[in-house]
Amino acid sequence: MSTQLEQDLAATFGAHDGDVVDTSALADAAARRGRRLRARAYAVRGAALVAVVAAAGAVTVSRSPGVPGPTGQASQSVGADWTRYPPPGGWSVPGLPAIAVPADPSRIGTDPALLHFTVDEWSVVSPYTTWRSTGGVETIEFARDGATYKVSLAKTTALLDRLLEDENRDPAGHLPTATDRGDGLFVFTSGPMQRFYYQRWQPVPGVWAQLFAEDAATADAARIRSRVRLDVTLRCTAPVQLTVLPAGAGLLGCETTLAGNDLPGRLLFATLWAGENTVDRAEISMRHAGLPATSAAPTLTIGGHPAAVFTDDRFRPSVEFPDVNELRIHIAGTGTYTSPALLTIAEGIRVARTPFDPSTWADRLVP
Amino acid sequence: MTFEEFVHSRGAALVRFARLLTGDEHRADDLVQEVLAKAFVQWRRVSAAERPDVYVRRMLVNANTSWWRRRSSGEVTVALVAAPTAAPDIGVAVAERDALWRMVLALPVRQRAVLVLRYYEDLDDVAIAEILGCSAVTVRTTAMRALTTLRARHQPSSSRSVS
Repeated sequence: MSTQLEQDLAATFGAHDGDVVDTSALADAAARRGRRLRARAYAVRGAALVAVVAAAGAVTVSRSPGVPGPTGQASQSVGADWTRYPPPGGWSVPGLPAIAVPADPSRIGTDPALLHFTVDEWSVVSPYTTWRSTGGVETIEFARDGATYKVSLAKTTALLDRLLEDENRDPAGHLPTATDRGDGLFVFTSGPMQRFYYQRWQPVPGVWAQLFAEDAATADAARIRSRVRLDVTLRCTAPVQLTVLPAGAGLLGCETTLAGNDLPGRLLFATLWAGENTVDRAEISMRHAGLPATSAAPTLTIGGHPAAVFTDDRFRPSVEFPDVNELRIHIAGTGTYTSPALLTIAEGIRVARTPFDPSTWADRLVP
Repeated sequence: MTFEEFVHSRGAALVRFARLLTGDEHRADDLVQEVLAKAFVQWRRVSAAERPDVYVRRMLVNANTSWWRRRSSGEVTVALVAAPTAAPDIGVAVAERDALWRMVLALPVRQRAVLVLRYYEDLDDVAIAEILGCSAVTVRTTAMRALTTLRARHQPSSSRSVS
């Protein structure tokens, strides 16, 4: 049904993209309009400068270009959008299982199957929450009132800097600039085109935390910072276990996103990374079998389940189970992880009987 | 790349993208002109970007979102477009496609943008996230919301017997 919907969408868009476009006329019209815009901007800036100089008594003042004011929330509503309208009783994201070991912040980032912190209340009262542990960084991502937040912990600022670079969305590559407030808090602000900010602080010696907030009030930052707790250890779990890995491979990362509403079931997405390093590895991603995906028709059976071998839309060799207990499992490789390694992993995958109920998942991703 | 070269190579794609975002050919043309005019003013900065096309498409999405925010009324209600059509054979397919198009237009602008980028531009979530200035998880969630809404309302006659 979803494939039909995808095809219908593609056909619908193809039928409504309009007639041929005269790009010469477009370039001329846009350039003319641009020149008018530039002339007006010069006039406004000049007038402002004259006024300021006059008022300040010939003091040289430099003005930055106008910054648009804060944007309001979109006023549109969607009938039954569960991510926007909480269920009766409010959103409540089930937590990941906590394990009974003494809390040890010095272990942060050392085990991709574990997270060593939580964000009280905010990670629970959210339409969906993502837990991620990989590359020495542990992250919890959540949302509220249209804003999204991400708290990441690592043992070095270099790892958080890398995160900042990886997440950078400025097409020109400019990174947000940091300001040291002098009280242990570093604030990174974005340009006017991008409505997000970062804050960085040290919750305990030897550990750095970073908050990313998008479309969020700045006052939220202090509330979230006060809710970061390092006295727990959570196990990152997923609806599958990887019982067989290629020689030399290990678990490199885990990411699970659970819903704050019973959909039914709680799983939205999960991804595991297994391999030797960030290049030679497999990415095992899971989501509902009914959701659209780039795929191929199954041509073989692995462990009793139909499977397909193909190249995905990012040109990665892939093995996919289209539907195991309603779960689509896509295994994509990079570097030396081509079909043979991917098939080895696929053959060793054990899927939970009820993949959308996290309470039924195995404790360990790799037994 | 000069501004003119950019418009000649990417202008048509931008206009088609805008038509699908707005659902209105005239407003799409105006929106693209408005965005390209702004790009013209700061062309040195835009052309210095690693991918000017991504930069301009993001400007386009933001301009369209701003337009929608300014325009508080005039949403297309799904109740209006969900009425069943009785047209037979080939007319059914056209009517269904038209109904789906109007349902797409009734989606919030951000959801519509994700669908257009995914199913018309054929971009993956990472590329869409780059254009929309959000994370890939947000793109996936937004797409899921949109598809859930459409799936609940869109029942093509050819797939009604399939459950």
